[in-house]
Amino acid sequence: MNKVRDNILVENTLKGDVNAFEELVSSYQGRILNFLSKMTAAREDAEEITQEVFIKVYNNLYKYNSKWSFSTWIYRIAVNTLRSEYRKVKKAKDIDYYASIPELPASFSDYPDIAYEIKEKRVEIIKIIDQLKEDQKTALLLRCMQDFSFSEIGDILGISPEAAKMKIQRAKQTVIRKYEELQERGKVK
Amino acid sequence: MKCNLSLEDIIKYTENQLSDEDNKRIREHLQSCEKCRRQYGVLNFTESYAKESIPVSESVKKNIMEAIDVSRYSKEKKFLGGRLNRAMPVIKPVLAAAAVFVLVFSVATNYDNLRGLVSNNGSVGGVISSPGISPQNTNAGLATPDATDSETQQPVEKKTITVYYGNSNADGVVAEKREVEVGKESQIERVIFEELQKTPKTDGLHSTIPTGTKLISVVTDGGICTLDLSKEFVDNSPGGTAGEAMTLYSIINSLTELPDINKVQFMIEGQKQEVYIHAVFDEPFGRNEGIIKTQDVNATDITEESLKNLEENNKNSIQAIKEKDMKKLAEIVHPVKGVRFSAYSHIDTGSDLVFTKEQLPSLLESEVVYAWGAYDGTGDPIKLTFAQYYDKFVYDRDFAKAEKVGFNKIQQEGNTIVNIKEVYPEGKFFDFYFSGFNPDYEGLDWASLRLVFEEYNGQWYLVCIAHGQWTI
Repeated sequence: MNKVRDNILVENTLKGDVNAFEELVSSYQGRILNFLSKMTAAREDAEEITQEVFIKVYNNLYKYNSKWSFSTWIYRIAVNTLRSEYRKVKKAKDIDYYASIPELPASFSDYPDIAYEIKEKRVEIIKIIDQLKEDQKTALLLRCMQDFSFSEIGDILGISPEAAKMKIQRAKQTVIRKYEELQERGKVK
Repeated sequence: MKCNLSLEDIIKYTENQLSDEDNKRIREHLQSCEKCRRQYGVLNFTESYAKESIPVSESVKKNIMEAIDVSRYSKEKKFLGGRLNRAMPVIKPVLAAAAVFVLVFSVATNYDNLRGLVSNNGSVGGVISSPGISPQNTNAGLATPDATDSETQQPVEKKTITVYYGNSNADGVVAEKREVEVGKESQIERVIFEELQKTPKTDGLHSTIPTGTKLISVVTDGGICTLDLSKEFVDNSPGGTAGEAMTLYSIINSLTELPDINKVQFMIEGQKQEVYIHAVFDEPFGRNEGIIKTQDVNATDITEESLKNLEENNKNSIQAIKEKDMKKLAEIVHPVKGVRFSAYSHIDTGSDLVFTKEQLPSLLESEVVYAWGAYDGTGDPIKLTFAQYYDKFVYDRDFAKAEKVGFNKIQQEGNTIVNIKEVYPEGKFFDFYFSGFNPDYEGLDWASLRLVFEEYNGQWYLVCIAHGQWTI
C-alpha cells in the first residue's frame, strides 16, 4: 500500500484521467476480491460486490477525505457494501465451496506434525472462521490479510482501536478453542 | 507435561508483541508442548488462509471500467458534485433577486475571460487543491444572463478571495474571505498579496508577511506562480520554523486558491535562494492543507445576546421540524437565502434544493416530485416529494431527543468531507447526533441532522438542513 502513489492516482482520476483510476482498480481489485470472497459464499457474489465497490469508489471519489488513507477508505466501502448487500447474497457456503479450497503449502507452520494435522483439518478450520460473528470475522480477516493496524481496522469498522483489538482477540480465541474441541472429540472416537 | 502458557501468550507471540526474551522462552516451550504448538499452528494457518490470494478474472476490471462514467471528472463535462467545495456561498437563483444573480454571474464570467480560463477548468480535486471563485450552481432552465452581459468589460470587478492569516497559537493559518476590487490592469495575485499584508478582520489572527516586504513582480505560468519579493521578506522575518511556515503557507495557500495556480516559487530581489531561513527555497511550494485551521469555535465573536437568539431559534427549529410545523419553521428561515436541504453530509451547492420561507408552509402537501441530488453510492437521482424526502432525509430519527448536540462541531464525520464550514463560513450550526441504533452495526448506522444558521439583521436564521449518515 503506497499512500503517496494512491493519492496521486486519486488526484489524477479527479482531473479526468481514467487510466489513473484503472490503475487504482488494478492495484486493489485482488485484495478487495480476496476479502469479499472470504466473507461471502459464492464467487459470483464476491465479484459482483467487488465491481460495485469500485463503482462507488469512483462515483464518490470527489468526496474522499485525504485524512484517511485510501486503503482504509476502500475497505470501509467494501465492508459497508457487503452489509447492505448481505440480504441478497447467498449466505451458507456449500460443499462445493469447501471442496474447491486449494491446499495450502505446509510451510505455514514451523512444526511439521502440526502442519500435517492442520492441513488435514483445513476445511474444518475455515468452517470455524466462517461461523464467527460477522464483525469478528471481518476484523480478523482485515488484520491477517492486510496487516492493518488496530486503529485502521477501527476506522474501517467505525469503532475504537481498542474495540477492534478486542474483536480480533476474541476471534482468535474462538477459532483456537473450537478447533481444540473438535480435536478432542476426534480423539474420543 | 506441565504447560504454564496462556492462549494470550501464544496470540501475542504470533503478533510479535513480546520481548526477545519472552519470544525465546515461548519458542523453547513450543518444542515440547503439543497443545501450544497446535494453537500456534491454527493461528498460522488462519493467517495464511487470509493472505492466500485468489486469481481475479479479467472481466472484473472490464466490467468496472464499462460501468463508470469516464467523463465524470473530465474537463469537458461539467460535474457539479465535488467542485469548488469552498466556493463562496452562492445565492440560489430561485430565491435571489434576479439582479443579484446576474451580477454575480457576469462578474465571474468576466473573470474567466480576463484570465483566459474556462469556468470549469480541470481542478476537480476539491480535496487537495481547491479553486476559488466561479459560480457553479447555474441550474439549467433558470434564467441565465445574456451572453452580451458577460462580454461587457468593466473597468473594476468585485471578487471574493480567500486569504489565510496566522493564528494566535502560531501553529496554523486561518481562512478569511474578502471582497476585493480588481482593476482591469491589476493582477489578482498582487491584490491577494497586498490583502495579506493588511490586518485581518478577525481578532486573534495576524498578518504573517514581514514588515516592509515589497512585491517586486509576480508572474503565473504553467500553474506556478513566481513571486519576486524585496529583501525585507528575509531580513524582517520573525524567525523560527513555525513562524516561517506560517508566513510561507499564508501566501501559498492564499494564492493556490486561484484555479490556475498549483505551486508558488519565491525569489528574493530577482534571485532564487537556496533556503529561506529554514525551509528549502529553490523549488516551488505546493499547497499545505494540514496547516489550515478553523477559528476557535468558541471564540468570542458572538455576543451573549446574539447567542441566546441563536439557541432559541435552534430550539424552535428542531421542535418545528419534529412537529412538522412548517409554518413555525418558515418564521425562522432566512428571509433572503431561504433554506437549503442537503441529503448528505457533503453539501452540494449544485444540486441541493433551496426553498424560500414563503414556499415552505405548503410543501408537505405538495405532490410535486423534486430531484434532490443523487443517492450516495449508486449516484441515482433522488426523486421524491417533499413529504417523502422529509421522512427519509430530514426527520428519519427523533433528532429532537438526540444523544448529543454539538455546537459548530461535527460529531461524526464518516469518510466524506463535511463542508458546512466551507459553504457557510459565517454560519453557526448545531449537530443533532445519534451514535448508532442497532448494536450489530457497531455504529455504522450513526445519524445526524445539522441545522445551519446565519445572522441577518441581528437575528439568526436557518439556512440549511443537512442530513448526515454513513452511506456509501
